[in-house]
Amino acid sequence: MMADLKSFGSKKRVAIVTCIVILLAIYFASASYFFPQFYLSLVQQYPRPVISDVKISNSTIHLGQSFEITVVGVNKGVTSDMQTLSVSFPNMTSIQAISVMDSNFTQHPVIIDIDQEVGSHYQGTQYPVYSQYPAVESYNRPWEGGASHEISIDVTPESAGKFLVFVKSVVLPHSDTIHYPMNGTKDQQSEYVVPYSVNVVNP
Amino acid sequence: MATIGVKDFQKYHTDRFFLGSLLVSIGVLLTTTGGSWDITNHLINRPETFLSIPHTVLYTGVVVTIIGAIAMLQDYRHKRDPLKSLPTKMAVIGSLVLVGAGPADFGWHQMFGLDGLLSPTHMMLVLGMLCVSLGGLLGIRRSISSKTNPKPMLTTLLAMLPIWLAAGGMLDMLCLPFSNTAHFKFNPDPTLAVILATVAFPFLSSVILISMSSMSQKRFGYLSALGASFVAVVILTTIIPDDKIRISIPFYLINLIPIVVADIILSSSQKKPLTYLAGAILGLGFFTLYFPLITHVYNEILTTAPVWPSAIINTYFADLTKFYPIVFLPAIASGILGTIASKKLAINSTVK
Repeated sequence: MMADLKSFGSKKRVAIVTCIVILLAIYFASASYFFPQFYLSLVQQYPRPVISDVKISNSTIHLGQSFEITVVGVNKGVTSDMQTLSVSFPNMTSIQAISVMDSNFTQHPVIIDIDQEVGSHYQGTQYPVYSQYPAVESYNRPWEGGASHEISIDVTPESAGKFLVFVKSVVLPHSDTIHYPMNGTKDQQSEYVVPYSVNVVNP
Repeated sequence: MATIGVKDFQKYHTDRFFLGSLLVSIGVLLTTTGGSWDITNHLINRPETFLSIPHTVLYTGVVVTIIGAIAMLQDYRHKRDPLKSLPTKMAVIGSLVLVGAGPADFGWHQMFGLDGLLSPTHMMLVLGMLCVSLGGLLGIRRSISSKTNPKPMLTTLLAMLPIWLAAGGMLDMLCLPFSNTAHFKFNPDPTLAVILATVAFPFLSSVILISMSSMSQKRFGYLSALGASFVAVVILTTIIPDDKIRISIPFYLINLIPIVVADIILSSSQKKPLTYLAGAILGLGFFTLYFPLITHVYNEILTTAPVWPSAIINTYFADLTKFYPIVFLPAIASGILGTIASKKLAINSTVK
């Protein structure tokens, strides 16, 4: 009887130890091999910023008059952690004559003055530079896939001639590979922009 | 496990002190889960209002905690039972700190604007939670000795979970790089944060789970139930609200394995070396148990760039697995230390 009990106890112990070893092997194999392999093999999907529309109220204005620019950005990919839509004004020397008329972004647009620290080379503030001309940066954090947002800005040019407006949209992270436009003219942040212009004539 | 019914209360002559202790524990559980959910919403930048669901859960918890602490105090003043003195004091002082933390936090926001995770008022809030949750546990354990607790183990489990969550919240506050603001640079030094996380998280898992096992006289199931409850809270408040990491639920569920294994070991043997083995296994499991937030801590010493919400899974599985060999031994040692410390917690809350 005692021998039977001892044998039963011993068998139970072996069963428990075996069970523990198997469970721990499953745990460590899953944590260090199976799940890392599985998650890293999944195809990554990315956001895709696009500027879908730019409306300028007047193509020609008299010096002293203002015009309104409305820019619509859209994310045609998956939701991005953050997406910016920037409008900059290389011919302006101050932010006094720039005002945001309307915006449906979740965060308030930021008006960037000259000599302010800004990111560059699609690396954000890891490569800071100082702004040389004013810009308006609006952003959503996150920006849902398929969603579009727009901003309307009123600007009064300071001098006659061809008045340039640069427009771009950048997503974060992966901004170095995913941005709009993908090539062309570069702005003060060494990032690609789509240039637009308004003809400013003397009255 | 059965729930507590009206008949249970009648049968055990449940008193106000027990009900107060239970309410305190439920209240802190609501507060900590609401807080965890709120942190997730901040991390994924989900727009919030004061009456968002996480805030509502959190503040409901504070109200329930205060009601519980008042009930404990009323009972203590009426009966003057010296065994109820410490739990009542802890619950009342903790509740007062919790109540005081609200206006203090409001004032801090008024003075300094947006705050980070670590701020004096947030620390005050978590200390209050920790104090009040310990009061709740002690109260529930005292109710067992006075035979007014109809479900001793279920209520003990309910009291242990908020202690774990509050202590985990405090460690998050001290380790995570979410505390630099325009006015204050409260982010911890990355190396110190990694050392603290590697030592303190395994210790915490071990001390909480082994104490639970001790308080249940090492019966199988209670340690596992507490561990599973923690896993469920993390899935519900941290993983499910963030659609970028929702896919990690199957991975996160493997955390149940070391928990069940430790439970099997502790329930099948009283030998000290095997108790230490259980602690070591629980300690080792910290690297997966405290996912996803732990990613931000370890990432800090790999790169200065923050981990974007969409990059959590890739960062954790591609970069952080490098840390496994480094954290292996400290995690085992901390888990064993947690086993030793658990005796203290279990003894202090033992039924007298």
